[in-house]
Amino acid sequence: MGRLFDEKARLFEGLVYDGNAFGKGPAWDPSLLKEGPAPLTELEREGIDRLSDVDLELMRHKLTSIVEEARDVYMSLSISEGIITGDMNCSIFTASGDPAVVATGIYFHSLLNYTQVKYINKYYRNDHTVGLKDGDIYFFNDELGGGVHTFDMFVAMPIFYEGELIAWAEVGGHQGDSGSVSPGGFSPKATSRYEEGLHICQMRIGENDEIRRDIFEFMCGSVRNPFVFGSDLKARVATCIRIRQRFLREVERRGVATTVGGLRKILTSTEQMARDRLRELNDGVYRAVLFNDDVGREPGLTRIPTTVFKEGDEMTVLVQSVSPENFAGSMHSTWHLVRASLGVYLFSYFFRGLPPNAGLLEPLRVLVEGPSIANSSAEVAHGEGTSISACVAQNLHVVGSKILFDSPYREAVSSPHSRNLLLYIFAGENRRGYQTANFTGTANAAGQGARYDLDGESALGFYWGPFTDSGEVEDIDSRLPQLVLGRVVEKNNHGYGKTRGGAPLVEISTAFGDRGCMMTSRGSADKLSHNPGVFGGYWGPPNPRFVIRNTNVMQLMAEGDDLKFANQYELLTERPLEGEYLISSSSGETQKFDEGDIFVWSLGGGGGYGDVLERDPEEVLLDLQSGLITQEVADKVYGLVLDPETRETDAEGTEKRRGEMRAERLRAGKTFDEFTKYWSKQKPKEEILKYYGHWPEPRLEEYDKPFWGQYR
Amino acid sequence: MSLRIGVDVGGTFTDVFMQRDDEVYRGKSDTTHYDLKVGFMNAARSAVERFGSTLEDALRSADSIVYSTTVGTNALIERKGSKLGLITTKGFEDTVYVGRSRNWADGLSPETKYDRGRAQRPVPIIPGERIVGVQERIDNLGRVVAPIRDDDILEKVQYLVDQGVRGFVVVTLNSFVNPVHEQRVRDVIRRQYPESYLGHMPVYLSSEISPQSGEYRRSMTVILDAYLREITEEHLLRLTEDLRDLGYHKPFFVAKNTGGVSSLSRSQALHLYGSSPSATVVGADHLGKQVERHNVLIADMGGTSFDVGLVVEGRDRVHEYDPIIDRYRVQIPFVAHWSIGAGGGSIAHVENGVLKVGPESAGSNPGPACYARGGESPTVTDADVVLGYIDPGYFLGGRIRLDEERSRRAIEEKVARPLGLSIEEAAWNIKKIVDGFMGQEMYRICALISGQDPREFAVFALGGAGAVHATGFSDFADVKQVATFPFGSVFGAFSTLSMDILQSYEKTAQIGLFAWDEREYLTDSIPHFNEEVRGLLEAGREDMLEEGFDLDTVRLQLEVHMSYGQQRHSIPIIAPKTFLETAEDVKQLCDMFNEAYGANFGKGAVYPEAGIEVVQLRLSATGPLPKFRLGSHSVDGDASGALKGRRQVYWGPDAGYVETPVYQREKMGAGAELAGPILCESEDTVTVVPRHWRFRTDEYQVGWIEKI
Repeated sequence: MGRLFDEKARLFEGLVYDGNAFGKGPAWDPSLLKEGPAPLTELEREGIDRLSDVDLELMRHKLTSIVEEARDVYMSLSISEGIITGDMNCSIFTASGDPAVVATGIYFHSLLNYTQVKYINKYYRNDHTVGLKDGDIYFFNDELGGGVHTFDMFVAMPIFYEGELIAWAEVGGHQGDSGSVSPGGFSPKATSRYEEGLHICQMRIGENDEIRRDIFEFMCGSVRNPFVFGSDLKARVATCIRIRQRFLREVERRGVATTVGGLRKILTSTEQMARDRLRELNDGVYRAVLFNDDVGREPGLTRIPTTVFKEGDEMTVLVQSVSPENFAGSMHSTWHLVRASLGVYLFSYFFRGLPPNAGLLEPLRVLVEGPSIANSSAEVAHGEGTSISACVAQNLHVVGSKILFDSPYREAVSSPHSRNLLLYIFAGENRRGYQTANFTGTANAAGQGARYDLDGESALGFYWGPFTDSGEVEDIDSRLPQLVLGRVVEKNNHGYGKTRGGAPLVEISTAFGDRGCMMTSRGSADKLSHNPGVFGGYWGPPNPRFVIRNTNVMQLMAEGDDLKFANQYELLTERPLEGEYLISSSSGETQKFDEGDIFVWSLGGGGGYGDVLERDPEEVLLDLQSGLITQEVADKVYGLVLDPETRETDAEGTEKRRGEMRAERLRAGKTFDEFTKYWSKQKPKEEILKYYGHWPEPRLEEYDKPFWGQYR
Repeated sequence: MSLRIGVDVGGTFTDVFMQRDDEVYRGKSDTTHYDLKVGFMNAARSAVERFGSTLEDALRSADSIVYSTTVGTNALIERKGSKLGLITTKGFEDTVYVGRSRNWADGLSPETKYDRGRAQRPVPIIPGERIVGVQERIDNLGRVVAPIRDDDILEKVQYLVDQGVRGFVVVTLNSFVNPVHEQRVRDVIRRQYPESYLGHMPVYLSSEISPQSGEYRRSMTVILDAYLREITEEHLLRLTEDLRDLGYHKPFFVAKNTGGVSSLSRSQALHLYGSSPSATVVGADHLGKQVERHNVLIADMGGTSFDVGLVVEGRDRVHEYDPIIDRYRVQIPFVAHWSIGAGGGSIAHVENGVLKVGPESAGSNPGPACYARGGESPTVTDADVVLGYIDPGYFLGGRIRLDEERSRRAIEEKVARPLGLSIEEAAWNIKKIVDGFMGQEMYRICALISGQDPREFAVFALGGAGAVHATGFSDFADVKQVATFPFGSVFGAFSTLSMDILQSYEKTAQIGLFAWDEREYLTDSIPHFNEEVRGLLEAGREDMLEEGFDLDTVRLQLEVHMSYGQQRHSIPIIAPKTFLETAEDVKQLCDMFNEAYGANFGKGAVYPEAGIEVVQLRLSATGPLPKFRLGSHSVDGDASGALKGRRQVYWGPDAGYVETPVYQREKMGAGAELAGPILCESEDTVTVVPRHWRFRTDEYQVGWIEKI
């Protein structure tokens, strides 16, 4: 450990940090998850010695183009909404099972779902009841084996050359329904992993490039949408075969040692680049914290703090003093998911410009205290573990912006992309007679955080996926049972600041037709946002579930009446429809909805950057004119004064008003000591703290010290 | 005597190709962006001078002109199109802004399109204040859920008129299934604002211009078409008037990115955008048939970009159905081509201790360091000069004199010294990197699009730098045979004369052919299928009659785009019969689809149990035009008269500098065969033939470079 870590941090005996809190199980081995890249093989060493820097650069490009071709094929052939909008991954692993090249829509996929291959190598390959040979097809979707949740499903196939295992091809993504208690996969009310549907750690489902019919039919029969499942499973196999075919051609052209050596060197060279960059940044201890407001079954406060020790060419991410695990929902992450989630920030922002592969994480040490909601045991439900791991990634984004501010990489300083997840999963028969259970591409249109020199873009993409696509409503019309009434960039739904966050795309739809549809909702950040602003910027607002039951919308439309709302803001503030307006926790039971019932949802807006009173008044006016903010926000938050006749900015009036606002801030301000004295006496109501753990520092009773750092 | 003229207006040069009976003549001129027709006339004049005529005489005797223009490209880059308003379904006014979220990255280079942290959307074609929503809704089955109201339309149109718009784009949800609401908007506008009141205010309906599913892509298709229409029409009308004044009264055709030509009145502005690379694919296909190469990878390497196209045996044309134009995804059946940010001007630099080449380009101004126009960054051309491939005194036939010392200095400072290499090694690595990236991208495109092994393909190397790097990138693309053409530098202009008159019609459909639940062929779908086809046929017949064709000579081809139940990806199947009649016809289509799917993605991927659907119908109507055929020459096999000297050329770290024979391409007869290493120079380029490759010329004077 580094000097700063040794001085400032304290780890506790009896708790788990550097690995998962669950032990070895019937088909999983958590030691594989933390062991890092396998030692060099003789063949790899031989190949590496032959590769010049130019050869390596060309090899990187070539292998990347193979997986990118695979990504296009996989997305083209699939049906699941998640996969076709980019929640997927295509990889080539080394023979030992380390991911070397990846094409993905979602970065954390590139850092997960490889230990299953290591498990096969270690336990099945030499087992006479299983074995491993060319043409074998393996399937896996169990989070304990190294995945995310059961609805992310993968296929891996070994690549042999002249009888020797030289690599693996792997393809998978967010499939949707897994036969869990709720249609469509996510089951916010699940209390144990046994309510989350099909769990397959790693199983051979086919040989000689063909899926076994009995297994295929068993799997299709275990989910609600068998033809979607079957079609996408076949797509994965076809894509793996394509990767194998291309990879073997490279082996023929370049030689086997050079090709596998190149795979390995791609990993190690990226690690070196990451270390070089870290060396350029200021050392220090940086902290951030987020709170979650729901556990799944019910609302409840939990805490996820993060401390980062940046020392030399290494960084330690410590998640400590986090709330304990519970059996009241599926918001439980694993150590490996937390680690992989950091890639979402690191790849797009912190290590911007470096090759996005697992090598970037090698200079990082990730310590997640467990058992806790961030590093949970085996039996709990894990389906929404990303809600917790995302909080760590958001904390790292805030911390990273502080680290990068005084560095050559200030262009990457920003507030985090929105992660205020509210996801509706619609199920039922669509208007073409197909059974369906899935969310829509609107999930891929959250607001971006403000940049230090640019506003965040609105409706930019999915939190987890830089390359995701929000699709088109005409496609949704033909695939899902509900009818979309509007998709709009939302008003007053982002963090304000010197530069502002991006707003989300809000989808407003209604159950449609005689049969209506089923809907399950999932998420949190209903009261407490997960979208911090930085350097004084406002946070992106929370977004709870918003449903209106028994409206007259269908009647109004049929009669040609104007629907007197343009967005969620107007629906909420003006309530123009008849009906029962229900604002509640994002985690909802699966419920039946009838024609005319309205669903409103988005994935939230990004936080702001810097002081609102420093925002260019002309930019505020543009926000007002484009409908991003209301007059009230322009006036009360930004202090914008307009000429009453021309409606242009009154620069002098605005400056005067802002001067008054600054003076008001000073009057209302407290010294740090005064604030600490006041704040340390505050405590939420007991029912809110039901799942929090010990107040104020969550810890097990037998540990008498707070876990979150030692102040000296 | 017959004379046909092909014109290709490019970003830098305007090329003219004239076919005068069996002889061909080339003309080249700088593109004159202030008035494109000036460049056209200059290039045409330089061509006619080669056969001792005047432009006026040539035009008076010419039979046809085919014109490929960049007028739309420039208008879009400069955002100089028409001021439009968009009328759409209320609640979906943000559709074109949001653009499926990912639109911020559409049209960006691979290096920038993954940089989400710095994402910025493009400047909108129609800004938010000129987009209005009208209350209406039609579902995906074409049922009216919310009727449209005239008073609502009028209010919104009046608002747009007050904003000063000069045309209306109308896109309502699901109008490709039921266009009644879009038509209503047009009726109201025409009734309320007759031409006598506001002047000509065109109304563009998406259901007529692009009746396909996908409201964002459909909106952008119509918006871009409408945006470019006025400026394109104006340019072409002025040009044809000038030609008429010069005595030309024969047909004037425009080349289209859909792979054919049409008369002015039968073309859409958007179809003229980027027509040159599409024409090149058609030209390569035409020549490929003559030299018996039916799988062709087209590699056109110029100063700033590397364009790749594909001709695949058994497929009429490889199309991209939702290509990106500028920064927007649209729905036109673009003849597919891919642009890679690599060319002679690509800049080499060292980043994190690693040598990178491109995507930044020095372009033609300031250009490579050796141009001595102020550029100090080392480029691919500089590397080619250092390696001895390009003779500084004979670049572009001596038209531009290069400064080798500047090339050496730039490479030494920016690449060799930081990496601890000699100047030659650094130059060699620059060449290797750029060849590798280009070749591997060619491989990916070929493999992805055709599903075939690139070893089955021949490369047609075009552009000024194509022949210089052909063996390099072909090796990385896994291709062993490269063709070079005497008129490779004006291949785009030549290609316009290879195109037929083509009109195409698309329609999104949702027609089940095989039921996933009952697992049976659906004969109930036959009337629906036939009705949709009949609509396309009627449109095709009408247009081809107006083009002046006898319908008996028109080739009609129906592509049925099919997919498994709810799949987004579809495969085009050439329909064996225009209309379906029996269950056996339905089965035949399904069988063809299953077979094509299995051939592309493996037998194990075939999954009719998910249902089989028709998702799109596409009809193409082709009216044949005469084509140029390569003339056959007597084969003498003697290259000795073409030897113009020897010079030191660097062939890699193992071989180092080797004294290499240099031949003059124009003096080489048919049937010559030479083993590498050699260089073969021509006015426009130099063909680089390394060891283990040979160069030969065939009876058509095509130069073949083949791996031994």
